[in-house]
Amino acid sequence: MVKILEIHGLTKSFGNLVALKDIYLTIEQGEILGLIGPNGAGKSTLVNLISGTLSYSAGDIRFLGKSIKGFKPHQIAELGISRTSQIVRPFNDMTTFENIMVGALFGKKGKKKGMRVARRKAKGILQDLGLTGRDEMPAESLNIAERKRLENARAVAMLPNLLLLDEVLAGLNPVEMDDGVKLIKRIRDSGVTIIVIEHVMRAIADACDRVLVLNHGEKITEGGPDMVLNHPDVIDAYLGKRYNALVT
Amino acid sequence: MRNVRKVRRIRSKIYSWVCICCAPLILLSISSTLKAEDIVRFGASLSLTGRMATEGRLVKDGYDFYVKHINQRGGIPIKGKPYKVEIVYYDDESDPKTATRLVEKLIVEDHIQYLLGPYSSSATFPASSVAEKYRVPMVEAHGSATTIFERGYQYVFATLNTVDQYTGGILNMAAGLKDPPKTIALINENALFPQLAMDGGEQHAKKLGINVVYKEKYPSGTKDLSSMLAVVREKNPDILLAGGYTADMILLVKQAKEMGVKPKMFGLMLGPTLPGFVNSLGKDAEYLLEPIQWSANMAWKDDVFGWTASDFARIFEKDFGYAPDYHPPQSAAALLVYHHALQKVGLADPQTVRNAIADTDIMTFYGPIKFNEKGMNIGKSMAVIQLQNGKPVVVYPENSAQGKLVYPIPYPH
Amino acid sequence: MTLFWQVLINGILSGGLYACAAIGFSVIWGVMNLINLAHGSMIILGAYITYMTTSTFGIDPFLTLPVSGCALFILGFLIQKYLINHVIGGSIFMTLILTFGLDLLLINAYLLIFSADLCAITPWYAGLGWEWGNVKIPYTRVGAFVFAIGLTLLLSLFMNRTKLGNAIRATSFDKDAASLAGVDVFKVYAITFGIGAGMAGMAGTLMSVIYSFSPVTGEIFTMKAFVIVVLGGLGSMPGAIVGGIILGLAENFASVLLSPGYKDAVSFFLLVIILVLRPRGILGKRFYAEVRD
Repeated sequence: MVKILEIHGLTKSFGNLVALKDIYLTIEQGEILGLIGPNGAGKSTLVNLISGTLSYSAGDIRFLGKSIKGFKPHQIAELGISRTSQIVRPFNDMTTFENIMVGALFGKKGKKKGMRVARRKAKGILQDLGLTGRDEMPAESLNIAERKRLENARAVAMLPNLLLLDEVLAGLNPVEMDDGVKLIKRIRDSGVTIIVIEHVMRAIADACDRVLVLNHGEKITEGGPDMVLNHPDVIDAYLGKRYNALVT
Repeated sequence: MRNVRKVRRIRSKIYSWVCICCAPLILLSISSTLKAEDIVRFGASLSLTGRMATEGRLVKDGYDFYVKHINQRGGIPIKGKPYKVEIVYYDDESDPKTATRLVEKLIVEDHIQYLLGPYSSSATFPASSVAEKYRVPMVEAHGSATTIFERGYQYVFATLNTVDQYTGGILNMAAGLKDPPKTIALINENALFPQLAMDGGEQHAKKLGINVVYKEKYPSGTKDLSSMLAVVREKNPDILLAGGYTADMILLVKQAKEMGVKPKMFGLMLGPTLPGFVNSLGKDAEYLLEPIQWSANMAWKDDVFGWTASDFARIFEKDFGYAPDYHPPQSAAALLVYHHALQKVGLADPQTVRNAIADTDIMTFYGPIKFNEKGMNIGKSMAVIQLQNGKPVVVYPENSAQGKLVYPIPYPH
Repeated sequence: MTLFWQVLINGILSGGLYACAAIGFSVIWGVMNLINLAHGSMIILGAYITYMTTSTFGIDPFLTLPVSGCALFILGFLIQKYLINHVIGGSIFMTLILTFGLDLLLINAYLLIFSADLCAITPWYAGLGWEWGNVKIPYTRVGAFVFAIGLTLLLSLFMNRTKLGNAIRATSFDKDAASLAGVDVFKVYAITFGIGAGMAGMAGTLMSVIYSFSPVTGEIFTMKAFVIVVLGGLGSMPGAIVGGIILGLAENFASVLLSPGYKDAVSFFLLVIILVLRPRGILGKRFYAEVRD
């Protein structure tokens, strides 16, 4: 199996506050990895480090065997890592189609992409993600589920090898969430490795092959979803010790 | 404009050093000559450093020109006896407040009984109040604001034509034509000098029976006058006069042509004689008029030195190394006013000399000088040049004219 | 009635040029939240380039558009890349101070090189024009208008139809998201400033055919650009055209109906009205400050 992403002893601190401590992680091609943990556990920090929004000091991240230390976000995007943002931030005044176009024009190997190819690609993705009929509407007129889909679509349009989905399922109703999970699997099936960052346990259980749990910047455990979600430390971390005691 | 001033400031710094170095010399010369008996002393505060140092220098050179040449001839002959001339100068650093203080010092400490003016209206206005207060005559050469003379003062006189008289030359010339123009439009920038000039133009035109069909001002720094000119075109005036600074004047001439404004006579308060103006406008600058205080080819000749305006220009250039504009002769003329007054009444008390000045009616290389009851020179009016083949040609007054006025302006040209 | 048509045409013609003068300012402000106080001086540089080119080679001033456009693009690109990009993340005052300093630097450089004398370009057809009844339509102004509107529309097409245009627009709405999408934000900034400066340069060429200029006449264009951008809407190309023409009409009708002295007062009155009633401008969408989180 090809190792897409290797994280070695990654540490990030903001002044005295250690946000991530000595993280090790390997992701293989075609995996869907779940990344969970309570608020402030360091999930977003990890995603920001991988996407280049933050820079790390200790440890290393390797993408397809190559260190990305010191790379800027747009350079990392060009290598083939895309991400969505926790807070959906489409380019509001641009239409849905134009939003996807921005992804299709840039992203992986962005320098070589031309308008015509990007337009064709963007149209395909528009259809795949069920946004047809919305293409000429300004992004700000979409509802929340549509916006999340648009956010996905823009990231997918970048044709990444690795896709980081930051809470794209939060705030959706159960039906929309099922669709979302199916969509994630469909993207994986097209050959994209995915890291899903989520609060919603059920979605994680449904979607992921493997789950990594963070708490206070440290890895608690890592493994198959069923194992991890029933792990006592995880339940402690999420629901508190009292709840754990109650259940068992 | 700000940056032009900056350049001036640097230049003025150089001058100030020159002055500091020369000051001991000047003082020395004053103290040594004080012992001599037959001397007339004048006093002046001038902007020898600071913002207006360049102009202040021109004024001083004009005063010094007279001093040099009259002393070479032995001095002013008064009642059969020659008196050497001396001027006590102070540097007001281009600051009107300082000028005012220095004029008081000249009167009180140096006992100067005959004052010359500082440079600029803003300095002359307060400085002349001091002269009036102490009842000491001041013949000034560079305060052109009409307001200086609207205070009922008895002791202040000016050799130049004040702002309100700027349009006088053109209008008098117009009124004297065979087929005189009947209507006039006046345009000016909303600034003090252009405003006073055009207000004067309006009054003068009314006096001459020329009908004012349009008079408006436009804001400073404007970029477009076309619609204003469209209105002017509708009014179809025979004369179009405009006051403002150069950029606006170029714009005005260009757009007047574009809008099809075709006055028979087209005058600007400034511009045509400035460098770059004709280049910028090419043929469109043809036949424009500009009033000027003085030019080297004026047909005027003074009776003290026997020099014409062109003699003045030639000798001045030999003495000071540059061709004079109107500043130096205008300044020297102030001393000629005193020259005649002192010859008439002797080194009398200021009151007597003042009365003699008020009666002045002389001819100088700067032009005729005769004061009205306010102290303004009404002896001369502004001369007028017309751009002909890209060169300024004096067309008025007739006795000084280098060429004939082209009237009405032939269109198209 | 003739007067009405004349004033209407004058207003529209000068409005087109105003639009062209404002568009570069608008793009730079809209994309980078940067108020370029040196904009007017860049327009003047374009005018000087045209002046030098026409006087040296004797070619038609309109043909110098590519020269001034390219020269200013390069200048703008370099200024942004090596100067402004270093301070742009910081407070808006830093960029204001920097562009103000740049303005002074440019003005003084012009004074040294070109002297303080006024320049104007007078092609052979200056002052000539079509006549429609008694209404005069000068060639130079029509030429400047056509090119001004043409350039503005071209820029609008560029922004919507090209990859780079898309990158610029995306960056203007959300630079972080654009960066995550793979857009090199600082490069986009440099290109954007280049485009803004290039448009200023070409506006300078068009302006030089109509107005006279000197090193210090740029200020008024910065002021007008400001008014137009607020009127029309920040970063909007059609907004700049609408804003420019409204300003042109307002100035011209004010100078006839009221007095030429009220011209500027009327345009600033318009500005205040728009700010109160529609802070986003007539065709503006989101005001920049609202986009920023």
